Amino acid sequence: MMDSPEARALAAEPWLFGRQGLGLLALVMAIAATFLATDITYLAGALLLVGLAARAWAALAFARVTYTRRTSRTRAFCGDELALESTLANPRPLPLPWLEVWEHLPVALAPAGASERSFAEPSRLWLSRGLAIWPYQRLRWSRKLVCSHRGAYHLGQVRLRTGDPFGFFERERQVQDTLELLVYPRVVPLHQLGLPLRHPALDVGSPNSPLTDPTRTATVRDYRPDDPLRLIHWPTTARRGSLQVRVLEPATSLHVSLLLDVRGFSFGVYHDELLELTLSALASLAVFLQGEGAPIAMLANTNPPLVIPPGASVPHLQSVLEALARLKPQAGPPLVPWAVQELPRGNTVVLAASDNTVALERSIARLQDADLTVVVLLATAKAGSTPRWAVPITPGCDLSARLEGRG
Amino acid sequence: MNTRLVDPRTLWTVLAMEAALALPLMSLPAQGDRLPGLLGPLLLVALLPLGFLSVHHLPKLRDPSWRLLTGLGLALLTRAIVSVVPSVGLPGLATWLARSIVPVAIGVGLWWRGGALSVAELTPAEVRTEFSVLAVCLLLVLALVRPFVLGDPTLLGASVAVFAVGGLIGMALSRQDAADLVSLSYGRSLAAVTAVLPAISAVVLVSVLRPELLGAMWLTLARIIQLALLPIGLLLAWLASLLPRGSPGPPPTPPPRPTPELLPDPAALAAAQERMAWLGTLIVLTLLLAAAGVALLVARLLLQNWIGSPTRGSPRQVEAVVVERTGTPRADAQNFFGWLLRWLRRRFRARAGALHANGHVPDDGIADSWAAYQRLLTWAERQGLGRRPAETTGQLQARLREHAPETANAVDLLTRTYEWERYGAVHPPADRLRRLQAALKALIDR
Repeated sequence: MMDSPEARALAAEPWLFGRQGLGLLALVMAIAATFLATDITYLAGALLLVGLAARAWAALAFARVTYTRRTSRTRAFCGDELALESTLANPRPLPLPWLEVWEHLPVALAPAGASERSFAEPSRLWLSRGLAIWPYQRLRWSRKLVCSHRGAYHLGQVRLRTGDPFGFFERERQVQDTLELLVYPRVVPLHQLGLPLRHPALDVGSPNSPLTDPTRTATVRDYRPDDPLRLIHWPTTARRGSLQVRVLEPATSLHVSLLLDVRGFSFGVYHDELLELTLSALASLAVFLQGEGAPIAMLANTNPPLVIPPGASVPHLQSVLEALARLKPQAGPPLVPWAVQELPRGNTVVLAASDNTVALERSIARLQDADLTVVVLLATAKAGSTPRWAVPITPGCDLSARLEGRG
Repeated sequence: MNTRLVDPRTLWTVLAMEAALALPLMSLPAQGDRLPGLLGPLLLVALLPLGFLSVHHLPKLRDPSWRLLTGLGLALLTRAIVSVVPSVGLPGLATWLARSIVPVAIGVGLWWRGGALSVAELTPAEVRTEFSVLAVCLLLVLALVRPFVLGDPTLLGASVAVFAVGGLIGMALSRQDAADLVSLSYGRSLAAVTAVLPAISAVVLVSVLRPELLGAMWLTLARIIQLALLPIGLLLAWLASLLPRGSPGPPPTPPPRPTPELLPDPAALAAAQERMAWLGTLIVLTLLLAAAGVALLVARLLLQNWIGSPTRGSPRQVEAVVVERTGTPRADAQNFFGWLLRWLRRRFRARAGALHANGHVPDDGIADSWAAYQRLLTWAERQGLGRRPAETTGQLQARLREHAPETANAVDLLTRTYEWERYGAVHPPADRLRRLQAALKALIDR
């Protein structure tokens, strides 16, 4: 079918109901009425009135008609199903016997319903919904979206088409909204970690540790009488009008930086799948470590480079997951010396890279020279050729088992 | 162009349009000598929907040979009902068959067309085009081919009504089909209602066009044209007066006396009339044959292009659309009258403002201190000292006093009285109101 607004322009008005045609019909009607030709008068009159009414109807087609839509959530994990709910309201006396709603949605969300592929953007498709709406009526419908791929999706424009009841004059309205849907990478459940992440020179902290790190604020709360005065957060106190104190994150020696080298993920047979698996591994690590109370930083040499400083709070984890959801494998600066400058000292670094990456071993050596403990997740299509110092990520592998050290 | 197909039920409206055009066109050739009038044309035009139904329900009739034979049989049957065989025997039968050729051909054409429509896959654009073309054709038939159409007002009126209603409903439904409408409650009814409304309105409006009204309308138009051309006429007359007059010509010769003609020979006249009648019949027959030929050709072209697969798509699953109420006519009416009231108020205020600008102060304008204070604000605004959004009465008073010290007494009086009434609920007595009015007048006349 070629019915989408991209492929089909608005219908041209028929000559009979254009200005010339209507003028001619008026003349025929007047002459026929003068000569008492009743049948011709009625026919020409009906056609004339139909033309005039159709013009007026089309001109008023969108007056006070509103269209809105929203998703049940704006954040989702891979595999989740969402509902995209649309509402069309016609709070006026004029009905619309036909109305086409065309939504431009990403293919990756597998929207349900009759669809046509978009020519201008092959990654999107047009979904149509035909409706008839009576006066003072509001129609509400929902469409299922399946979040099967990671990414940041803009739901795109909506085009409404309607006109007079006979389709002589068509009108179109474009609704531009900025609805964005973030699909996080797939997170696999981890019960333990098989990676040597502890820093050998420091003790391992507990999330319930009574010791806190004064440099990292988790949140603020109301002041209690036994709170030390040095913890009062004066800007928030001034804003809220009551004393507020900082709540600090527990002190721990497990400081992990997740580092992604995207340079090798833009080519190769399985580069897309390997990238998704790698991001999934990093997201799973981030979720696990946040649950353990360990602060995590996230860095990637994309263009522009991605740098998220360490943190252990839930909003921090959310920002890491959002960054992973939005990540595109566009290579930015070389891993070294950029990462050496950005990484916090004394951290354990989980470096995720592809085996296609040029001079990977040299980069690892430079990181180790900078007093960083490096654990490598190596995305590769050939499982047998992985070096002993790397954890392999291969297409179709059991990610949970690999990260827990079972496979 | 929209590629979606119209629903098979919508094709009935296409049938109605085509029947409405065919009925007046074949009304004269389809007359029967035993039962003249509307029966012959109606029986023949019934073959159109009959062909549609038969081919739809009897797949065997999709075979062209069976379809043609059945059509021939049915068309001959309609002729047998309305006409008689002139004489017993083969010559009479041959004469009857010869007389029935044209109506039978029309009947077979209609039957075939009905069958073709039942398997046709029309798009909404094609339905719309067909409506436009048939509308023009019907107008031309009624206007130009009227001598060859049965002058029965019922037949012509019914044709026009069936065409208008069927065509409009057909277009509305086909546009809904093009939009791939989900099944909503009364969605199709909405299309039908909105399609019929213009036709009903046209009947009402056209009924107003009485000959007297139209006579007056044409007379007015003629006067307008006359007035428009008058300056040109005067100019031409003036130019003609500038031309030199020639010498007076010879007196006009009296017209020749007419010579009485001899009366024509009655026998020759009768012979001439007979020749003319024969010639007229020949012309009518030729025209009818040509029309039948054109109709057959058109039918053939339509058949070639429009016969399609009888298979139809499976009905779509009804998708969940929740219908709710929004807004009410009452709220709309209230909004409209509210808007009208606001507009009227603005108009009157603008007028009052214009009067102020001209230096007029209505004497009876002050009923309380609030009105007086409003005048003060208007005055201050005209002086460029209008009240700011966050300014209190006291702050405004101080500012006015600073900018125009000579008005301080009047401003103080107006402000204090307003504050008493506004914040203390102390209504000023009559003498104070008079003082207010005097202060205001002094302020404005300053």
